[in-house]
Amino acid sequence: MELNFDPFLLSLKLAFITTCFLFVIGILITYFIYFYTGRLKPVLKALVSLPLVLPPTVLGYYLLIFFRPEGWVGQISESLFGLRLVFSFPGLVIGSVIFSLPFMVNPILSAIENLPVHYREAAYTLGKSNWITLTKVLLPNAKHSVVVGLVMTFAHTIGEFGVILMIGGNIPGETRVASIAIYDEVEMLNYTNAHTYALILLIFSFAVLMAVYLYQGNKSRQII
Amino acid sequence: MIDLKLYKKLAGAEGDFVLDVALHIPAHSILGIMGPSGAGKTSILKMIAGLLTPEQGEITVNGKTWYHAGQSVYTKPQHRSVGYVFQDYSLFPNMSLRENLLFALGKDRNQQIVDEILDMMGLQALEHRKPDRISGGQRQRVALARAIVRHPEILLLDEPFAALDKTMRYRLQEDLKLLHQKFNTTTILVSHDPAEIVRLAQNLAVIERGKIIAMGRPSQLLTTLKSDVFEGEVMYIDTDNNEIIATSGHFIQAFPRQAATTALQPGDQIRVSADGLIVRKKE
Amino acid sequence: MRWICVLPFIFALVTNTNAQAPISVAVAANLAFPLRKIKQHYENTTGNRINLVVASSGVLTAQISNGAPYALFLSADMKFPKALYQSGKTQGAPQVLVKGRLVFWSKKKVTENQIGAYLATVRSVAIAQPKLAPYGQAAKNWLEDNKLYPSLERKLVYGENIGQVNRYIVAETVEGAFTAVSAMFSNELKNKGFWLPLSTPADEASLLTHGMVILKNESADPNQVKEFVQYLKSAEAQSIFEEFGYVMR
Repeated sequence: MELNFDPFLLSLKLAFITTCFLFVIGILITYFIYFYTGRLKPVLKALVSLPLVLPPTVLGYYLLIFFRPEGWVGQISESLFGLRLVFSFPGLVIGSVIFSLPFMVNPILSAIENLPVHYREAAYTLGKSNWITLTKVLLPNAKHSVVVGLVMTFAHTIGEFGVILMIGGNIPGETRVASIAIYDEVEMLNYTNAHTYALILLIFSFAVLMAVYLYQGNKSRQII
Repeated sequence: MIDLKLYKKLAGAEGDFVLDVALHIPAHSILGIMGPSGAGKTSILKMIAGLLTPEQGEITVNGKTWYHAGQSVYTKPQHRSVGYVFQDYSLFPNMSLRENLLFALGKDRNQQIVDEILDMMGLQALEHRKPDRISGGQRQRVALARAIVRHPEILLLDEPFAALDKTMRYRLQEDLKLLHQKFNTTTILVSHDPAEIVRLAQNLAVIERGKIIAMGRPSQLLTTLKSDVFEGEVMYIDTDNNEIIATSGHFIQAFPRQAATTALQPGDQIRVSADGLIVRKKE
Repeated sequence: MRWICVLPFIFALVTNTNAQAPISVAVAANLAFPLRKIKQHYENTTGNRINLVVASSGVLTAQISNGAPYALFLSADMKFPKALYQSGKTQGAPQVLVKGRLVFWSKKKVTENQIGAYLATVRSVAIAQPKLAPYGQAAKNWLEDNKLYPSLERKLVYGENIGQVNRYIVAETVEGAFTAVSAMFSNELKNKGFWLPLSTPADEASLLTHGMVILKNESADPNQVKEFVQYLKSAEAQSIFEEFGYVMR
C-alpha cells in the first residue's frame, strides 16, 4: 500500500492553526492571571495546568459530551455558525487549544513573574496601562519564553493522540492526523507504513526539542 | 506643594511595625529621607506613586488629592504625575536609551524634549544602545532623564546612586542638580549618604521603624544627629578604653561598651539608637 | 513574528484543493480486509474516491450517534444498524450485506472438540470486546455454550476490535484467538499458526449477519453513495467477499 502524506499535512495544519490561536489566547490568559490579585489566583493557575495531568481520554470524553450536536456547546456552535465540532477539523482545533494551553501559558507566565518587579512599577509610574505594560515591556523581555511556548505548543499538538481520537475519530482528510494514522496502520497490520510514519514523527520531535535546547543555549533559566 | 499623612502596618525583618508619618514638602524643594534599611522609606515613595496602598491617611499634591482614606479617593499610579527612579533594574532592557525615553514620553507629545534631555546629559552618542551595553552610572543617568521627561509633579528617587562608586555618584548628583534647576520638580530623595543629602536636599527627615524621629535642615541635623542614629560595622573592640570603634562607611565613631554588647566581634553589623543603646543587627 | 499567522491560511488553501470530496464509509474491523480490496477495484473502475474508517461496530455506532460525518455504515451485525435506524440517524432500514463466521486460531493444530483441552494448557486467549464487537460477543457465546467461559475468563485478552485481535495473532503474543473469517484468508495472517472455522448454532446466525445502512449526511453526494452501494451488491464485489470467506444469503 502506497504511503500517504496527507496525515502529516493535516497534523502540520492543525499545529499551525492551534499555535496561532494559542498565541493570542495564551497572552490574553497570561494578562488576566498576571494582573489578577484576588484570592483565586492559585485556582486559575491550577485550571490552566489541568490538561498537563488530566488523561487525554478524560478531557476528550468531556469535550465529546459538550461538542456533540445534542450537547449545549455543540448546539450553540451549530445554530450560530453552522459549525459541527465533533469529528471535524474545527473541533480538533478547539480541543488542541484547550489541551496545549499550559504549554503556552506556563512558560510565559513564569517568565514574566520572574522579571524584576521594577519593570512593571516603572511602566505604571510612566502612565502605562496593564496591557501596554504587558505587551511593550514584560513580554519583549520574556521573548525567549514566548518562543519556547510557541514551539512547545506546536510540537505538542503534532504528537497529540487521545483527545483527537475521542473528538475527531479517524476521518481521512478531516481528522486523520499523523498520530492517528500510525494507530490506524498498526490496526490494519501495515507495519511498514506504521514504521515509516513513526520514524518521521520521531525525527521531527527530536529536531524540535533540539532546536529548543539550542535556542535556550546558555540561558540560565531552563523552561522545559 | 505636597502634603502626606500615611498609616500602614508593615512587616519588617525584626517583626511588624507601624508606618505613621506626616510630611509637608514645599513646592520645588528637595526633601531627603534617611534611616536604617527596613524603616519604611521605600514604602513612603511607593504609597505616593500609588504602587502601595496605605490603610489610613491622605496624599495631596499641588491641590489634587491622590489618596484619601476617609473619602475613598484613590488615583491609579498611571494617573498620578510622578517620576520614579529605582536603585536598579530601572530601564527596560528591550528598548534602546532613546526608546526608553520615547516610551516614557508617550506617542502624541513633542519629541523635542527627548533630544534636549539627551543633549543636556551628554547621552546622544549612546542613544541607540541598549541598557545592558552601558555602565551602571549611565543607566541611572538615563533613568533620571526618563523619570523627568514627562514633567512630573513629583520626582521620587529611591537610593538612585547607591550602587555607584564615589566618583560616578558625585557626577550624577551634579546631573540631578542641573535637572532640578531646569525643571524645578518637587523631589523626594531617599539616601544613605549624608554627603549626598547635604549637597542636594533643603530638608531632611530621619525615619526609624516607621516614625519620623528628626526633621530639619540637613547641615544642622546631620551634625547633631550623627551619633544618634548610627548604623554600621564593628571595626575594632578597644578593651583598654572599653570602647567599640565602628564605621558607617562614611565616618568612624566610638561608642562606650555596654554589658549587652560584650559578645560583639569585629565585622558584626550594629545599630545605635538615639538613646545610645547598641543593638546587633541580625544577618 | 506577525507573518506566522498568515501561514495557516496558506496551508488551508494548499490542502483543500480536492475538487470532489470522497465519501466516508464506516467499516466494522472484520470487513476491513475485503473492503480495502473492494475500494481499490471501485476507485480504479469508476474514478470515484472513498475513505474507509475502520473501528469496532460499537465504536462506529457511538461516533455516528454523536454526529460523525459518515455516509455509509457496514456493521458486523444487524443490531447496531437497527439501533441507528430507530434513532433516526439513517436513510431507510438496514440491508443485509454478507454473512460472516467466527474462526479459532491456535499455535497448535486442533479440532473443534479439542479446543477446550488446548486452551486449558495456554496462558492467554484473545477475543474482541463483546460489547463493542459482534465477533467478541459471538466468541463469548461460543465459550459459554461449550462451558469454557468460567475457567477461561482470567486468560482472556480483549481487543477493542477484531483488528486488535488480529494484531495479537501477528505478534504471536497469545496462544489462541477468536477472530473473523476474513483473517484466515488475508495475506498478512493466513500463513500463521492454524485456523479452524467454528460451527455457529442456528440461532446465532443473525448475530454474524453483516448489515449495511445509508446514513443521513448532508455533505455526502447521494449519487456517489448510491453508486457505491450498487457496487457492493455487484458480482465483482460479492466475489471479493467470498474470497475472504464470507457467504451470501
